[in-house]
Amino acid sequence: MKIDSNIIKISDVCLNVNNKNILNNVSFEIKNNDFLTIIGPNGAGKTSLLKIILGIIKPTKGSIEIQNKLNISYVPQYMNIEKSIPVNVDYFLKLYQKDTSSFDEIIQRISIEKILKKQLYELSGGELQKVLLGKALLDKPDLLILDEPAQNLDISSQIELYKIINELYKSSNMSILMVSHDLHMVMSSTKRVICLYHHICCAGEPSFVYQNPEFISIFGSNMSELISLYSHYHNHKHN
Amino acid sequence: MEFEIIKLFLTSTAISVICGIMGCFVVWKKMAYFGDSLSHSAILGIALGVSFNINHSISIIFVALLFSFLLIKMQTKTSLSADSLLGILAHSSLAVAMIIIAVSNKSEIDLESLLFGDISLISLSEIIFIYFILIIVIFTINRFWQQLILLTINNDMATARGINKTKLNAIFIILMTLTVASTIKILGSLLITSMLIIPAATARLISKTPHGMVITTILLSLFSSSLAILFSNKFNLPTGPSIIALCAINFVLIVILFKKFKHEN
Repeated sequence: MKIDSNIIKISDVCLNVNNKNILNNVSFEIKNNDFLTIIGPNGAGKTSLLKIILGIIKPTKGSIEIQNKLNISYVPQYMNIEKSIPVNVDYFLKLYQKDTSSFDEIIQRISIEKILKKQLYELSGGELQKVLLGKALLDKPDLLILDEPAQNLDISSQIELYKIINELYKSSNMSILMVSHDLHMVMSSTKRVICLYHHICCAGEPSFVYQNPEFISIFGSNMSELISLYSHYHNHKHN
Repeated sequence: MEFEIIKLFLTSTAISVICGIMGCFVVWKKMAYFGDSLSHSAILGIALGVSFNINHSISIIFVALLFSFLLIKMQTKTSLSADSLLGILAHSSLAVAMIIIAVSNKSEIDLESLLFGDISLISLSEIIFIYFILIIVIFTINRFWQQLILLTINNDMATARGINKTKLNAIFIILMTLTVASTIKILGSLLITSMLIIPAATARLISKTPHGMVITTILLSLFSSSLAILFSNKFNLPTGPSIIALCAINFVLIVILFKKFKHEN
């Protein structure tokens, strides 16, 4: 199957759980070197959509065409690490990893070389997310999928994490698909945005989406104004 | 007498390794109650085996697998939590087992040895069976080690990497079933879970990696069981409870030493 410059094509995907419509006729494409972010309120079906793309759950209807030999890596939502299993960062990064040739480069790039001997449960939220990102990058992915990577992080950790993600995107041919609540961060860095609330409410460039009536009805006019201010600040050069 | 002692050491070595490996996974996956419930269902297996003249190991494996299958089915069909379902299944099977034992009126069922085990009753063919199970456990865990560890840390991450969660969970349940079937005669239904949990929990306090924890658990189990055999033989004590009592003493000593070491550092 040839999919032009699309690496993933999602067509009319529906998900029904316990007679509840989680996703309704969702269709979109992810292109080469794309940076696509899915936003939407809690319970909108964002994580379910990611899990369908990853093959973790099967859709009730619809199809997902994935380019042949596409290497997909996944950074899960903030996870609770149990103390019951003793695993340090170094062990975790190399666990079930076929290729560790880029290990040294990646740990330096995301600045985790000093925490390699720490147990996973001893990590702060920001450190853990960087480790999860590092593990995903070891696979040298064509598509990196991030599920709310900055959830539960303090502002400085959020900024640091998004900075790393942006730098990674700019310095590689990798595509990124991200689910996020952090509208400020999303609108300033992503190429395309999909606003999801069981179905695709609106999609396009960030500057288009935040003016869309459906976006305003979901997130409120305050958020729209805040984002437009933020966007304005970053889109203009000041002498 | 010497042959009996060698038999006891051979048996305790095998169960130390089997329970050491599987015990770590029970602790990591927080499945202590599952192990406990499985050992309760094993009594029903023995009761059925005696009543219908079937080999006990086969009837235990059959009942324990049926138990696990019912648990998985009920988990998907009801909103009840896993521990409630385990409680229902474990105690129902225990009750049915007691009724079958009472009705069958077979003198060969000794309730005390069912609950607490009796290592001295072990036959040579049963020792061979335990070693056969030991080889299966070591081979399977070694084959799926990395997948099992990643799945234990995070389900979604493992599944996204192409790890078949259903297959691995089924493999784990089968290994647990074989562990219970091979050790129930020695440790009894009430003490199997202790042998799975206490050495692993002790090892957790002093381990930095999963490999390290498995090796430490096996060494602690070997130490406790060997010492228990010597003590029980010398002072005419029940072997199964002696093994568990020594495991518990080890746990307490290591907790104290660990706290002291942490305090000093």
